[in-house]
Amino acid sequence: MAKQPVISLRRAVRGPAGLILPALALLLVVMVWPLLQLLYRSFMTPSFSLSKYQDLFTDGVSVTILVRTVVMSAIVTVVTLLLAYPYAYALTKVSHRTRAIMMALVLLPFWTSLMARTFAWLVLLQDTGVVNSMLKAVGIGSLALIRNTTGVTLGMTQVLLPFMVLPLYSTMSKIDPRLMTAAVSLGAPFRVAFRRIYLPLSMPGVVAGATLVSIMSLGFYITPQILGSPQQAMISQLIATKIDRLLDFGSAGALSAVLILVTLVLLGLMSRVVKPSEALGSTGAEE
Amino acid sequence: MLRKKVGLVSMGCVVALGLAACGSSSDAGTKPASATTSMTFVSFGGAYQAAQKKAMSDPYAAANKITMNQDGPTDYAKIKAMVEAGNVQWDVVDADPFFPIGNCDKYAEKLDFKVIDTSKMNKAFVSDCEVPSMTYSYVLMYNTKKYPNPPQNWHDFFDTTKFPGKRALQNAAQGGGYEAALLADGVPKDKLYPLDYARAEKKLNTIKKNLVFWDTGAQSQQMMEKGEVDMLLAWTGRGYNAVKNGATFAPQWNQNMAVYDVFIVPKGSKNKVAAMKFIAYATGAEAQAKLTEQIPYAPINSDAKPKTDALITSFLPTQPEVAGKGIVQDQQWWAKNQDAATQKWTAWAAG
Repeated sequence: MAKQPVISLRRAVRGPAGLILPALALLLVVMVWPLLQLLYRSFMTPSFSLSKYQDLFTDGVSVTILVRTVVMSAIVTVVTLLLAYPYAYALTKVSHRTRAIMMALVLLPFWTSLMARTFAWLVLLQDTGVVNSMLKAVGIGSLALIRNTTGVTLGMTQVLLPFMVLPLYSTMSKIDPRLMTAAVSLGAPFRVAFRRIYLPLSMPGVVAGATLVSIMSLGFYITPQILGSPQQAMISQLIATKIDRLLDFGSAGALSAVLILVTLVLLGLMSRVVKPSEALGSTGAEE
Repeated sequence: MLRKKVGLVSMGCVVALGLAACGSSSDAGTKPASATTSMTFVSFGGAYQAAQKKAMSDPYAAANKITMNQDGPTDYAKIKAMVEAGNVQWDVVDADPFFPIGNCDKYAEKLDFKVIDTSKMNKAFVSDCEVPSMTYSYVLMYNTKKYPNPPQNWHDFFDTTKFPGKRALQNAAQGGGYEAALLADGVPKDKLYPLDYARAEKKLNTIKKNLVFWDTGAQSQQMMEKGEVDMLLAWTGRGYNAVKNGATFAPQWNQNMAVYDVFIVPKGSKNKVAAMKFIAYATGAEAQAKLTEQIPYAPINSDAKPKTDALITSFLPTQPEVAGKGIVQDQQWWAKNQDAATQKWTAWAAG
């Protein structure tokens, strides 16, 4: 009995699982350890207490910002999904050459810095910016496109779009096109065939994309900072204020713990819809 | 077999990296102060630190044959972490006054006033752990095209009927927003502190629909240059930059708020003696005059006589024309109430 785990551990180290050990060790040193220290500080103030967590509910701002962060993440997820679904579908329908171009367009954001792009949005969207000058020229007048939810949504959507398009395309490209042909040939209108065959088959991609996008958007800092106003402040900005300005590492730790908890809950919910292995597997380029 | 080796080697590297980092921190701190050959100066970066380097660090390094390393930006969380870890890498830091006042002898060293001469400084700017490094003002900057009849004070800033248009404030508790609101609401300047948050927020709410916020000085400058707002509370340095770049803005000096940066020595600096000598040099008349010639922040040494052009002079709080028009932010009060005020402000602004 006692020997069994030893053998399987050794096998695991020698096998493919051993390949992730260096990465795992690095994560332990540079991420898990500091994270544990921060969490430890959130309980030790200086002796063990939950006061930092109680403060979150009574300080009049943390709950508001937490709710706003989750709502913002939901908005961005829905908007990216609405944009990415038809785009990914189109990717499966076009010629090789067009697909290569469309793929490059999706990946383009990865090659430019987040900071540069966010400032580019600022230049485009500000009251006297390119977009508003064009709108003014056609007589629509100037719209408030930054320092509000619109600006933050635009900026975050553009950053996160690839994380929705890639899993969707990966799933969709594996859907046998003959299924749709068969359904239509048996008399189903395209709309019905799409809803009853294509949509369910593409769900793993939807869930994988939505998981990635919603979780990543929970931690956004630069985009809401630059394109939003304090009324769009998200939880990362609050954590930054606690550390930079108030030197209150305990509260920052408590907020981080809440953020991690929300992330885990989201992951848990998503994994109830689609098996994690299925969702994650579909993000891989090849299977 | 080979696979296992690769894994072990990589893991070994990670462990070795960790050990190397530990090693370097444990043998520091034993160097005698007299042997200082290099020290680290920290400030807020950008044009400001570049000007400090030229006016203070470079000449000091040349005269004393030591290397002045530049680092930054000033980060109070980092200072706290360095002091608590017993591994202080910074020797002289340009900081906000609230930090050394609130953390004197905790995160900041007491300064040696036998080395640093404070006789030419405004005594209100000096305390045990800080001396001023320069001074500037929060001023009301207004668009001269939009308001040929300029707003006269913070009361006008809050009057959206007489002065319609968009306004901006800094998104920070100590950014002057509370004081501006209270002055506008009729609080006399000697009765501002302790700040009445509720009264200030009520006044601030009256312009919230016409109000945007800036976080960094660069943003405020952008707002003036692009005409994004019609009036705003801005730092004089940024106001000067915007006007120099063609913004049609002018400062209203009535009820300006005098503020200043300070030099501090983080608690446990390995080059304490050298740090005091550098601060003495950097607050001297020559270095202070040179600084103002580089960037429009006013000297804190009354002997400093910078040669500046008319535009720079018009943005200096030390020009004779503006004497007596302003107030001074109560840094002692702010040091004690920084946390509570920041909580209040964040809740108000983010709500």
